[in-house]
Formats: sequence, C-alpha cells, structure tokens
Amino acid sequence: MDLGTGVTLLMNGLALSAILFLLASGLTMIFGLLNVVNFAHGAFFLMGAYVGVALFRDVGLLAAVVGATLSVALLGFVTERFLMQRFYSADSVMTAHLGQLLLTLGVSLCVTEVVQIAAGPNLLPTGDLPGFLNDRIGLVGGGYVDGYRATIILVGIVVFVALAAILRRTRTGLIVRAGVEDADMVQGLRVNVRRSFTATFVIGSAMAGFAGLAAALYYRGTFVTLGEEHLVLAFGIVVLGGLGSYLGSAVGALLVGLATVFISYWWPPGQTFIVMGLLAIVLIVRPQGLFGKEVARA
Amino acid sequence: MTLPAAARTPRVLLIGAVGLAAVVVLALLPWYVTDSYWVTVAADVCIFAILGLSYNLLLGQIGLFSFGHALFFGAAAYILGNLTTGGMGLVPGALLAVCGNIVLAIIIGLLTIRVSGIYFAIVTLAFAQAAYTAAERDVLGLTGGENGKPIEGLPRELNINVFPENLYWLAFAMLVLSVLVVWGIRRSMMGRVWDGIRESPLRAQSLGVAIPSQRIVAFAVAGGLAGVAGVLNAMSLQYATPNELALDITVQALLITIIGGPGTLLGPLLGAVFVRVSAPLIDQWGRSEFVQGLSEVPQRALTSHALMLGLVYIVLVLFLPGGLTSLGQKLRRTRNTLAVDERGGRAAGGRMPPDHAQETETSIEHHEVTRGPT
Repeated sequence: MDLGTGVTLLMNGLALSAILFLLASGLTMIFGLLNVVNFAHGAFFLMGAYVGVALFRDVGLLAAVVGATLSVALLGFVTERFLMQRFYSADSVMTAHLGQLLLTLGVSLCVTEVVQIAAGPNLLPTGDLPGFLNDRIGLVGGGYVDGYRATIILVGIVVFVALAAILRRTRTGLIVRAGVEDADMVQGLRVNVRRSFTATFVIGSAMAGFAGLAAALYYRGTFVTLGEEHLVLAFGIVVLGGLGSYLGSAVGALLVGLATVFISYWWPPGQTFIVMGLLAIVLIVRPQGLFGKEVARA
Repeated sequence: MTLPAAARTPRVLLIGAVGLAAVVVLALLPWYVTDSYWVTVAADVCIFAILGLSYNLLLGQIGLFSFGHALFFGAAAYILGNLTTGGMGLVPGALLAVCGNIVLAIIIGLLTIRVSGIYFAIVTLAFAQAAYTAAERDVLGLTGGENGKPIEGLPRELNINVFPENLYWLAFAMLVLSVLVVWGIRRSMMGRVWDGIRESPLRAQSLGVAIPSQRIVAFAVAGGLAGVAGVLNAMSLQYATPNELALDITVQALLITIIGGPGTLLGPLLGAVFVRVSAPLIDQWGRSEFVQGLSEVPQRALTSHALMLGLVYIVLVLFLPGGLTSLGQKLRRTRNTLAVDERGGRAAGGRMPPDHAQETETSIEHHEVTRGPT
C-alpha cells in the first residue's frame, strides 16, 4: 500500500468514524442518563436516512438535514413521552429497565417495518451531491478525499467539541452529568430529571436521524438493512468505549471506523467478521470498556 | 404456597391427563389437517417452539438476556451440512451436530462468564453477528457463502415437500422430549437454583450457589435444545443458510418467549404458535380480493407480518408483561378483586391497584388452606 492509498483510506475511515460517532454518542448519552440501551436507535437512524434522502432528492440538501433531524427528534419525543415513561413508576428498577429495553426493541421492529412499507424494499439512491461536495480534493502522495467526506469529518469534530462544551460548561450539561452518576440524588435536589430524560432522548434521537442522512450520503443511497448493520456497530462502539462515556464512544468510533475501512481494503470478506470478533474479544477481556466505570460482575 | 398433598395429587393428575390428551390430539394432526401446507406450518411451529423453550431457559429461568441466540440455531445447521456433505449419514450427523452445538455453547458460556446484564446481551450479539458475516462471506470456507450448505443424505421419507407429516412427527416428538427436559429442570433443585439466580444473583451467591457453573449448565442445555431446533429446521429447508444465523432468528426467539410468557413452560409453545402461524395466515389474507384491490403501500402495510408482531409485542410489553399465558390469570385476578370489593373490602382489600391484588388473593387462599386441615 503506497502513501496515496493510505491517505485516501485514512480519510474514508475518518468519515465513517464521524458517522459512527454521531450514532454512538446519542446511544451512549441515552444510556448514561436513562440507563436504557435503546434498541430503536438503529431504526431511528434508518428513518433519518430515508426521510433525508427523499427530501434531498425532491427539495435539497438543507431541507434533508432539517427534515431528517426534526422528524426523528419528534419520533424520539413520542417514544419517550408516551411509551418509555410508563415504566418510570414501575415497582422495581429491574423490571423498569427490562421493560424499557424490550419496548425499544418493539419500537425498532415497527419503525423499521413502517419505513420498509413506505419506501419499498429497493435501494434508494441519493444521486449526485451538489457543489463542491462532489469534488475530489487532492492530498499528499496522490491520495484524495471527496468534498462530502471531508465535510462530514469536520461535522463530526464540530459536534464532538460542541457536545463536550455543553456537557462541561452549561447547567443542562451539569444536570446530565450528575444524572449519569446518580439520577435519584439529582431528583432529590429538586431538579426535574424527567425533563432532562426527555431532552436527552430527543437530542440523542435527533443525532441518530442526522447520522442516518449522513450515512446515506456517504454510501450514496439507503437500503433497509442500513439501520441494523450500523446499530450493531454502534452497540459495539458504545460498550467498547464504556457505556455512558462520551469520550469513549468517540475513541471507539475512531477505532471501529478505521478498522472497518482498512480491513476491507486488505481482505474484503473479513470486514465485519473481524470487527465484530475483535469487539467480542475486547468486551470479554474488559467488559466495562476502555473508559467505563467498573461494572458489577455476577 | 404449599398445598397439602391430598390437594396436590389430583392437580398433577389433571395436568398430566390434559397434557397426554393434547399430545395425542396433536400427534394425530396430519389425519385431520388434510392440507399438507398446514402440516409443514405445524412442523415449523414445533421447531420454533423448541427454539423458544431454549431461549426461555436463559431469559425466563436463569435470567440471562442473550442477544445472540441465532448463533446456536445456525451453527447446528452448518455442522450438519458439513458432516453430511463430507459423507456422514444423517442420523450420526444430526447427533454430532447437537453435541457440537453443546460444546460451542459451553465455549461461549465460558468466554462470557464474567459479563452479565446488558453487557452479556451485546457480547452475545457480537459473537452471533461475527458468525453471521463469516457464514455469509464464507470466511472459513465451510459455509458456502450466501447460498449456504446443502444437507445431503436426506431420505425421501424425510423430505418435507413429499412427506410433510413425517417431518412433523419427528419435530413433534422432539418438541415433546424438549418439553419433558425443560419440565424436569424446572421441577428439579437446579431449576429452583436458577430461579434464585434470576431473582437475585447476589442472594444466590451469598447462599453458596456457584453461579458460573450453573450458567454453564444452562448454556449447555439451551445450546443443545437450540441445536435440535436448528438441525430440524435445516432438514426441513434441506439447506443451512446464513439466514439461520441472522439477528432475525434471535428476535423471533425473543418475540416467541415474550409474547407467550417468559419464565413459563407453556409460554414458548403458545408464542411459537402465535408467531409462526400468523405469518401464513397473513399471507393468505394478502391474497384475498379485498387486499389485492388496494394500492401498493396499504397492501404492504396490511400484509406486514413484522408490523403486526411488533404492535402486538408492544401492547403485551406495556399491558401484559406476563405474555399470553398470564391472560387467564389476569382476568381471574380482576374478577377476584371485584369479589373482594363486594365483600366490603376486608382488611386493606378495598381499593387496590391490580398489581397488589395478587398478594391479597394469595394471602386469602393461603389463609383458607391453612385453616382447612386444622
């Protein structure tokens, strides 16, 4: 592999990492605060992809970004308000968590199916991207990155910095961080944790919707198994980084994104197999993830 | 709550008699179901009931939320495919496939022994997805890629397209056997220990239960049962394909267990009937004149099996977490609560949410039972 190919692959890997980070950070935020692994996150991602691509084809890029983000945010709001909250008053924490987990799985099944019903089973291509997003930008050694991938890398970095700033500097961020540590205590201090739960769920969902559109533009089309495939990767990233750890999911997304791209260059059939196998091994050796707190071991 | 022996014996006899009658009636199914298509559906229900029983051992009995159960279903199919294409006979191949599956389950159980809860779900998911993509892309050269691996040496008598009743009987016999195995486990000391681990791992551990070894045993049994289901399914399809390793199979097993009733013996059986029979019923409905007359999108919506299952599942999770098997119990409980109300609300029985009514009910029964003999 010469330098040019290496640079090109590196840029592709970074673009994929950015998309995976957008997906995984929403998932990890929801887990951190609500203690629920949201199985519907992949379906939200899928819905963002389809709504976004449909709007992109008919209206334009800006409408696609706004539409994908807002529609999935609304879906997240409905899911949290009308379905998840029913469990907050459950008898025990165990049944509440299992109930929410099972519920998100049901939401995932239904949303995926509704998307399939509305859009049909075939690949929905995005067509050409506008303006410089389609151009190739030359890099050292003959390597290149196309405009869209360069943009999405930048978006990933901006979102990472922005979220870090919100979490570190604002009152909302403080409540979220405190809620991750001990939601009961925060509630006891007369902070409305439930509102933070809803807000976190909605923001996480919106990020999944945006990531869906970003992925569809990355692959230049969207298909029905897009959600499932990326959800599995996102789960892996979130656990690899440590559930609830925001920095962890960024590092995890980088590792998985780069590994996926480089392995598929050397040995295309082994791509997902090796990534999933490595994830399984890492998780067995270190269940709490790279940046996670120590987990209780049974 | 312990009933006196005199009261218990007729109940056991009754359950036994009903069970036996059900077995006889179901064994005769190919005689009164003349359409051979529905016999193949019945065989399919038996296969997925076994898978459900296997999944329920982990989720409902010992309390492990596995998200990679498809691994065991598909692995057995591929082992059978490789053994029979390698020249081994069907029967030894099937036995070896189930044994191989048990070994695989023990290995996975050992590897995941330190993780529990959601971590366990994700690690098992990672294993199953690794296996799925490996099979689909034929990474190991043993799986035949997307086309899968054929099952050779299947006699004409076991070909589901020629003699569906034979495969049905085989699957049904295996189902009865599996039910007996699970029933035996549930009644044994080990089953009680598993219940204890599910309810509170910490308490079980402090009472001296070696949780890791119990988990391995549960894994081995669940892997064996899933292997039986996988082998039967492969014989019915005459192929081992990547679909049997896909996430969809795990979701099916989970739906069967949750819809039927987690932690019960009858639940996976009911769940399998519901989940697997509704698909052909919806297909049939989809060919009706009414549906055919609709435009494309409503047609797809009305004939979507996954959407129907998803909605039923959500309703059950929200309103009937005990699944279909708890439906009768729930109705009876509501009636009892009303009865308590009419009696003038003895003790604190007056206005109570349904969840607490159960305690009232058992305490009343308990009271009457203990008073009876004295």
